[in-house]
Amino acid sequence: MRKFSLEKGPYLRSVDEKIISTQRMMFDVIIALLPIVLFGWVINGILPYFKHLNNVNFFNMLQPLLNVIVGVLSSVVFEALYFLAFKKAGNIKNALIEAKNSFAAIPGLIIALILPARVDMYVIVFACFFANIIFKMLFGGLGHNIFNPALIGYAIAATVFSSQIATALEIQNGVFNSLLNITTTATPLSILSAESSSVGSFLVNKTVLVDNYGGLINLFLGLKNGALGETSGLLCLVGFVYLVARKVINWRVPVFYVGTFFIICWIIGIVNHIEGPVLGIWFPTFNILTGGLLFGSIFMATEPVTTPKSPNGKIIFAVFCAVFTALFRFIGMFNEGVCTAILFVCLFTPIIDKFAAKNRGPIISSKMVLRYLVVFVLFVLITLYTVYKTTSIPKDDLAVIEIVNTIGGGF
Amino acid sequence: MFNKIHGRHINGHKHMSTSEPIMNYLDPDFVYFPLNVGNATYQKLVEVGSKVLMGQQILIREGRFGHPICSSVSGTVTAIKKQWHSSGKMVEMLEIANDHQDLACYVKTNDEQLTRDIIIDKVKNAGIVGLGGAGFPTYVKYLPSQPADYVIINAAECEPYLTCDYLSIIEETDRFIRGIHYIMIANSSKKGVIAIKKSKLEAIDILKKALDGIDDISLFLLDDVYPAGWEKYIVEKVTKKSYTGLPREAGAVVNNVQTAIAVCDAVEENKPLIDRVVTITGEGIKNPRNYRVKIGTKITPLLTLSGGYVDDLDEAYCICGGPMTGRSLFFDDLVITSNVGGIIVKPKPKTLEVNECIGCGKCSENCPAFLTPTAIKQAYLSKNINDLNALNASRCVQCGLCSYVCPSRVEMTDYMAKAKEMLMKANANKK
Repeated sequence: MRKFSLEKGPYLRSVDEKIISTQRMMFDVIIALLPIVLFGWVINGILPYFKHLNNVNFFNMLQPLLNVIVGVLSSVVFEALYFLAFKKAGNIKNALIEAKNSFAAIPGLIIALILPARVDMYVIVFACFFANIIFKMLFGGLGHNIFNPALIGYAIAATVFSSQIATALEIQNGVFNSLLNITTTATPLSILSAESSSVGSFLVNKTVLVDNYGGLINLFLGLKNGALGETSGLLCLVGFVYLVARKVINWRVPVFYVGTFFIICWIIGIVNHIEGPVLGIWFPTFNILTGGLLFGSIFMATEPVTTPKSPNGKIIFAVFCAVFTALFRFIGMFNEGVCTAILFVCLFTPIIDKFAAKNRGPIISSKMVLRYLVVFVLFVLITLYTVYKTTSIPKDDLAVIEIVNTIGGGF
Repeated sequence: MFNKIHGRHINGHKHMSTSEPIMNYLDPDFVYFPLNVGNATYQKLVEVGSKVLMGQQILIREGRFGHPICSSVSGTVTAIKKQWHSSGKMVEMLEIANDHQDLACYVKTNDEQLTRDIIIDKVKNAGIVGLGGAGFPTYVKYLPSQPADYVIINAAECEPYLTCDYLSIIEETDRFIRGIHYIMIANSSKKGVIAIKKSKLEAIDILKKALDGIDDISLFLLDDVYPAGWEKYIVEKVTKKSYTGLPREAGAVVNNVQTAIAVCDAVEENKPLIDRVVTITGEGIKNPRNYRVKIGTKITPLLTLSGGYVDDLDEAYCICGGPMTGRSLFFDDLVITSNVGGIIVKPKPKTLEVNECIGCGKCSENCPAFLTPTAIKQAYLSKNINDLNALNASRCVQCGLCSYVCPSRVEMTDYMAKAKEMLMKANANKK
């Protein structure tokens, strides 16, 4: 007779069969981000340098890459220090292992990607401090944070260092424009805001918004100015396909986020008589390809800890992210809206989670339908409010345009 | 999209035990029959010292789910001993010493007309219980008098490693199909359906040939996912109807492959349920294969027949049943009761480290009962009975998928089982 181990079932785990693990999931996120990092480096550093554009020295050439390295390093160091100081990690090696196990690098990486390429490095370090120490470790570490660390770090840095970020963006835009022979100096979206505010009605011009940048295809490929990593829609989609294929993220959030946002923008375009074929379909397309919406919906709104867990909750979350992005983008202060919208909806994650968990099931009762109807009505009301507001954007306050032009690093 | 069970593909590990045919091991020295299992107690019909024949009723369970248990060998009742039962506990069992004569007490009778009542009666007297794992008395399923639309044979065998049903289909096709016909008569049903996984090509081929010319039984191919063998999954796929309690609500009767074969034996030869096929498999076994054994046999000789354990077997699990819903045993000294479909010896993984839940939601995405295990776990830890009720924790079938898919190796299924237990206790107290 031989003794055997008693354990809790099931005795077959995908973790043991090396099909999936938390480590691998996080590693896959980094892999999906790598092409974006490289693309950002090429377009913001290498190309301008080797085309001998003015104001671009050797350091500027390396800066996009250095930013990413600084972001990752400062995140890891902050977390390791925290483990060393408060979690009794013992020695530095243990602290680093702990930091690795709580995936400290990812917030830093993403922060570097959503700030402009020419931003001063202390801004990144500052954002990483807030992301990793204040909003991750102090909330209990991995799995207990209530905000996406990268987003909240970015939001705080963008508020505190708004002028530095704006300056960085301006320099970057200058470089970019001489690279691509574009005459405007702002990101496409700040033009959208400025245009619509100054003219008084929601009058937007395809020539100014899209054609200046060489058409929608250039916006899709990423030949536009903006934050370091969010410009290329193509690479974001590649990352999306990779992450879904590797079962790291759920397809629902990005698809519903982008889809809903597309429809809302389309409605706004139609209501405001935007011209173009197929009821001005370029307008929603333009809105999806700018302001880091693809990057945000694929890499931010799918962050597991702070978003709802059940599939139906994920859909509710994505749909509300979309409607608040529209609200913040068209009538809010941050002209990109993605960051603020995701942070805002994250606050409601526990409520959405509870609602979704209680309203699942093979049997759909009339009570359940009623509850979903209430959520849907709420969604429609916010959408209607957004659409209504876009038709009456105030024209008198020029200071607003000033703010719109300076705040927000393109994300 | 929201109310369809998707399931998830799991690596089957089935090839290990399918290369060899079923081997007979029908002459054990001792057999054991439990006197009480959980809340079911059995009345003794024999005493220590009395002689019994093969097929003689020795124990009887009373009450709503009453059924007899028949001796699987002929010989003498020698003692009442505590033995390891598949529930993981030591249970008092009746020991019968085999006299190796196989003197049967049942004889073949010629019934001119097999009516519904005769078949149900034969199935009841033969003591046939579901051989899939739950051990529900089979005749109880046939009792409702309204005709069933479908008789569904659950041949999915979605638990990884186990192959006893698969090999039974291949080797006993004719009896299997005759058994289905008898079940159809017992339920006044016009349609028989064999639900089998797409991936079991050999069995599908053989069944297709055997069903040539038989119009009232058809094959239904299931996706190769877990839990494709869940009764509810199969009934919903076949009948396109949803139900909450028993499959009868959707007009279906569901039986296991081996149950159908046992019904055939009972109807044609009056042979009670005295043997079954078990799979002895796993990475820890030298020569995995299937055995036909007398019910009540111990697994130890079967392990020896399979060549014993591999030489470098370190810490390992000995799992009774499938790896997803089975139970790990402390000793390899188990008595095979009618609900044991297999024994799996599997090396223990090197690390059992549980990481922090990162909230990826894979558990709720994959849950076939549409639950949200993370929320239920939270409600369980805070002992919130109202929440557990609202979250439908009692709907959990403990299929094990949530633990299987978890990238952090959180023991989700265990939390779910505990939450379910807590909820049931609280609800019972309320009443």
